[in-house]
Amino acid sequence: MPLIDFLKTLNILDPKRVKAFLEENENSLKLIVDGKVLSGLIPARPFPVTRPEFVIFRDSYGVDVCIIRDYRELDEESRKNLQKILDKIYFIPKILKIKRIETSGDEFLWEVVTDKGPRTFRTRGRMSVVQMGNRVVVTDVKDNIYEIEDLFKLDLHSISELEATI
Amino acid sequence: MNKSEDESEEQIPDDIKDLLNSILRENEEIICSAFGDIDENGNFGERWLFLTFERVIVIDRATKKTVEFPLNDIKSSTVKDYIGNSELLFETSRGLKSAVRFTRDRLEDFYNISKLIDKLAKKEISPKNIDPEVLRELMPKKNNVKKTQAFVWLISFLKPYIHYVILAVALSLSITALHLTPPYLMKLLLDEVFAKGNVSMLTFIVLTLISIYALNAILGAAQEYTLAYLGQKIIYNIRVKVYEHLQRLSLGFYDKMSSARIMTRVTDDVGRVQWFLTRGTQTLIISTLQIVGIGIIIFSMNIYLALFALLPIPIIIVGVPLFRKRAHRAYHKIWRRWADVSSLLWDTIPGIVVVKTFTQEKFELKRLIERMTSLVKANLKVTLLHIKFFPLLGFAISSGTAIVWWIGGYKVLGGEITFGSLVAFVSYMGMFYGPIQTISNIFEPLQSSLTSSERILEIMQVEPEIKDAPDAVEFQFKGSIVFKNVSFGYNPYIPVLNNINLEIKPGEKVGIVGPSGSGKTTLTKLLLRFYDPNEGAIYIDGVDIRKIKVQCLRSQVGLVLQDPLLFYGSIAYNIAYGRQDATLEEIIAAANAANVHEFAMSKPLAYDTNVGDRGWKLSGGERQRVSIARAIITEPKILILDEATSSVDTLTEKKIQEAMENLAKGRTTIIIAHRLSTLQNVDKIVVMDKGRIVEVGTHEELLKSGGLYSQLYKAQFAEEAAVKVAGR
Repeated sequence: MPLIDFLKTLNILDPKRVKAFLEENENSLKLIVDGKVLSGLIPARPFPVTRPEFVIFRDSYGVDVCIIRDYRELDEESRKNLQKILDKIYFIPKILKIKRIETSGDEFLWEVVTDKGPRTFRTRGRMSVVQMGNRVVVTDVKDNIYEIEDLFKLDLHSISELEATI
Repeated sequence: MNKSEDESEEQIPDDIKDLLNSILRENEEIICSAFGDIDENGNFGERWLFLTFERVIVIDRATKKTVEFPLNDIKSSTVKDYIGNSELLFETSRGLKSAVRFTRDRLEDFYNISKLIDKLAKKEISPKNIDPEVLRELMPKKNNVKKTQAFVWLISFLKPYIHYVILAVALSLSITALHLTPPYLMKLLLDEVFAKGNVSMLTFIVLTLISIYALNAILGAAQEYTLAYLGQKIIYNIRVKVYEHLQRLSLGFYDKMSSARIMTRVTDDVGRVQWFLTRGTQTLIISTLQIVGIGIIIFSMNIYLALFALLPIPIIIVGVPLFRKRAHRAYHKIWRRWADVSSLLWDTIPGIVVVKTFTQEKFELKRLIERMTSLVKANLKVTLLHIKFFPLLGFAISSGTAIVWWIGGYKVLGGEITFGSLVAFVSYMGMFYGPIQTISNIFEPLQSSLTSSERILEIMQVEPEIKDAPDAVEFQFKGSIVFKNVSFGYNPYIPVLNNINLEIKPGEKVGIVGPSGSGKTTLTKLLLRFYDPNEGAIYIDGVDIRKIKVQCLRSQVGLVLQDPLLFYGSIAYNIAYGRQDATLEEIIAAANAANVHEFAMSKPLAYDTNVGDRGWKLSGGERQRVSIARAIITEPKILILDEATSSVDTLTEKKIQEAMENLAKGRTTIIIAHRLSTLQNVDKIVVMDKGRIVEVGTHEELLKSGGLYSQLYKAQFAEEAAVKVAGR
């Protein structure tokens, strides 16, 4: 079957024609698309690291309902509503400063300051620190995820700590 | 790969040449020759075969016995492959005759000659107008790299950095010159300052000494950096060149040479070459200059003493290489013993369940102790070797020095030379032995890095077998495939496919079944043009695939392997691998079609999840589905599915099956099936056995005919039933 047939089933929405509202439980959303109501939707990011603006909306059974390519193009109110749920589902603190990275055995001990507060965690293995362009994603041994938005915007001390390790 | 052997064997010995000239008629020309290494009594020996336009002549070198086979008497020629040896046989009017026997070393040469003789005998080619191209094609291709050639190739990498090379040499020379100054200052100190009380000279000497050491440190750092820079640049260039070349080479090359060997050449061999180009040549030049420089100084200071200084040199020149040779063997032994220990660990730690199940903990411990004991012994042996050699060498050198003190002492007392001169002389002498030791030490690594460069060059000289024909075309496939009289073998003398004829219409679904080793996978490799058939041709939409651009062909033929390989990177990266410009929506659509979406979205980083090296972080079924998505996104016109044999659970199997069906819809599809139950929906089933197509038909037709397919089907059906009964 040609790919185009599968593409058609994705239901990609134009953010300009979508309004998003928080539902009462504040865990799901209601979308109004051209007057049509889609309720009980839970947003998910298929590319949380590389393209966090791309959002899939799924029903309570986990079935994809529709897609918005860039949710930042939603109107202010809708974007805030969506952001609120996304922030809860995707707790990915942004690392603002690296105080030190120490090696202990085959693990690294990180002491950092994030936008959600200071934090100490351990990473293990080559794949725990993945660099994509200037962005760095760090996954600790407990599968918590941290992000450095732009490696070169960190202060010099943080950069030198990071460069000495990875 | 045995170059030296090949070289000697290619040269026809003079006695054979003389004998041959006496046999050859006027104007009789030799087309080609080959050397058989088993004599007529079945012992190792030398028999030479010569092919002329009229006959085949075989000469035994020891007995000078000659056998002839007129070409017009030969009906066919074959090579029979036995165990450890093979035989060239001619079918003649007097029956089957043995021409030459040879070991497997010579198999390729004789296979090619046999093919040529066979074609001549069957009059497929005429001896009168034999095409030199054909001859070259048939003759074995020798790949000889000469040492000088490798050397020239290596030096060519230095060329763009010649100013750095000059800088490095200049720095080294300056450092050497600086090293030679302190002993002279010492002489001045003793003779001028202490003996004559020249105080201002003392200040001068101290200041000069400080400046020398400071300059030495600066120049040393500059030299170190220049060498490192040069080394890194060169190694970078060589690795990029080699990797670029490796990407161009055909699969045939990778079959002949294992991945591990190729990787060693890119990593270890290149590393050794770097050493040669930077440190090796530098050390050689500098040490030689040092020896000459110090030699001149000590001989000009006092010839008589200098002659005594030469005494320990023979011991160094003979002893050091001898020690290296022994040490090399001893270190190699340690390495092998260590490999024994680590292989045991690699077996038993991951396999601990088996060890514990069979309660063999004590047994394994005993094995480890045995191996560790050998390792300890091997290590101690190296230590003993060092203890035996170095004190002896040190003693020889010190004795030389003692003798010079002794004789020089008399000369100082006799007023012939000053005390300062003697001290300076002894210092220079001490500096003299260092470079001699270095040079004796350096020859072996120098040799091995040259060998490394030969091995790299050997790869660089391999030409890709599969290349675009000059008149190759590009077009959109409709999807019809025709195999016409196709024969093929990875080794041309062991055919894997024999006279395959098959027609597949656009959009048709064809299943290929047969016992393992029947040539199913090989058939698809030929379609992708990983190899070219030895005989016959494959057509897509009526065009011989050798006349289609390789890029055009492979981009329209999708392949899903039974054990798919993914690359280090995210799931999205792996899906988009076949089409780097795919959009995010296309990636998701392909993932939906291949049943990847669900499991991808269940992971915290979803499509950004890293799959690990070779995809190990995903399960077998997940890997399989990602590889199907990877094929879907390229929208191939022709699809080859190698059905997974690996045991996956029924649900996963269903999901993979579904993904494959999504992929196959509307495309010409070839399914290599291992489970016959999956073939009931295909348009036609091709049954293969021992490289031939033995049956073609639909499932029902083949069942009815009662051939190989029905046997396979019944066997599998019985097996499945048995499993079900056992399961109950």
